Amino acid sequence: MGHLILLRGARDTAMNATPHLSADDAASFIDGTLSDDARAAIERHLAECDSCREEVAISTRLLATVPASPRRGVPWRLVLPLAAGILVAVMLVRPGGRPTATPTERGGASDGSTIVLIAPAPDAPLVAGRTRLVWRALDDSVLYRVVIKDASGAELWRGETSDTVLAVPPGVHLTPGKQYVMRVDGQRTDGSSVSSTEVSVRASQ
Amino acid sequence: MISATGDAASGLTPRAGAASSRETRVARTSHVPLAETDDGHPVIELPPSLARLLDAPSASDADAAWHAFVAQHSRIVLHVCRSVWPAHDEQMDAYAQILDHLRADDHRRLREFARAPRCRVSTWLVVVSRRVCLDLYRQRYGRPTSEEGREQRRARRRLQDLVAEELELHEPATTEREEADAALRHEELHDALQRALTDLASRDLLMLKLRFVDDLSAQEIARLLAFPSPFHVYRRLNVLLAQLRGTLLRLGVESAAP
Repeated sequence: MGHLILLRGARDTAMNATPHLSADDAASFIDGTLSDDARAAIERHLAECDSCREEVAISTRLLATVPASPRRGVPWRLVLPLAAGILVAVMLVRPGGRPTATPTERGGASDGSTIVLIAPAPDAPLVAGRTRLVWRALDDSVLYRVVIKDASGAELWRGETSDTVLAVPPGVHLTPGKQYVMRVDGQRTDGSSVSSTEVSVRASQ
Repeated sequence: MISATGDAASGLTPRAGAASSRETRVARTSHVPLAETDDGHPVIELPPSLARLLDAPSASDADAAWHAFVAQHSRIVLHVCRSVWPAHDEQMDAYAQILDHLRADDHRRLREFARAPRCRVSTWLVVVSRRVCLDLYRQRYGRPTSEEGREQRRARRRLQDLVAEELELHEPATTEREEADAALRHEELHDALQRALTDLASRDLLMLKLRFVDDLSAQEIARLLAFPSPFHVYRRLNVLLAQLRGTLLRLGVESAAP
């Protein structure tokens, strides 16, 4: 904030010539954590600079209206019916039953609790610059991150997207015939994250 | 509890005395873990999630800490994205852009913030996220270079209109001739108000703008301008409006009506 105080000349003159507030200054003003001199200087600037004042006003309102985080706990009245349901399900499921995912869906369950990978298919080779990774969208998802690792677990490449498709760029160095592992992590709007299981893919010969 | 400092109705701001201003600051920031260095600069404790991220000993630790940090703050960042962009896809683009911005150069911006944190990380994130959103908006749709000046003029005009309305100086015209006279007097009123507003102290002018242009509540203004309570803001606003009315009378302007 020192720069603002030093650059200012006579009171309330040529305010537009002074620099706009830094993000630190604006946020500190909103939080009320500045020294008196710094605060007074910022007040003088805000009285004349509409864009900075608007930023402070809008940010103040945004902070006051952030939606509350969703409740994480399970209500007690749901616990017993839920436990009974799980018990019934466990008793009814027999070994060797129907698989839970179609053959082309890998890396997770289709109920939204994990991310389901759709492509590449299990026997399809991984080709940098050609292979497109596709997965099923999560409800309320905001961002996905794809990670490809080599057999030793070292990260080879990562990409981020808000879409459910991402191409492996040509620059990724894949050794022909070698096995790699890929995983998709999804970020939800409530801040929680969900991952697919790690699936194996072989680089093209 | 902290007592009220200063008397807004008497025209004194709560920061009239050093001791009282310090009390006010402590009262306003009671929600922030706050200490003060010897030279009076406030120091704010770094949130653990950010400290873990910046002090991570390995890439995998940093990766995990980054995810934890994003998980903790994504709600607030998304809230900002939604305030700027109406469509879901654009909100998500902006969200990704903000994460890129924070992550770039080994979290350079977060490291700069953490060097001497002077505010809550959530407040800082709101300001920074909004700036990234607006930059993205300008990249996509552009903005004429003269826009800022026009916005400032519009805001000034709006302040004059709203203050005139508050002072009940605008009166409807009924005949065509009255309309022409009213337009003239309206201009005179605006000029006089502009002069009267120019004479106000910065802090008072800022308060009027926050109230009438930005439509902030008295409570929000009280927090921002360190008034002990919203009632002090109302009292000060009344004093200012009376002062403006007096100035206009001295300048010979009583009403916009012919």
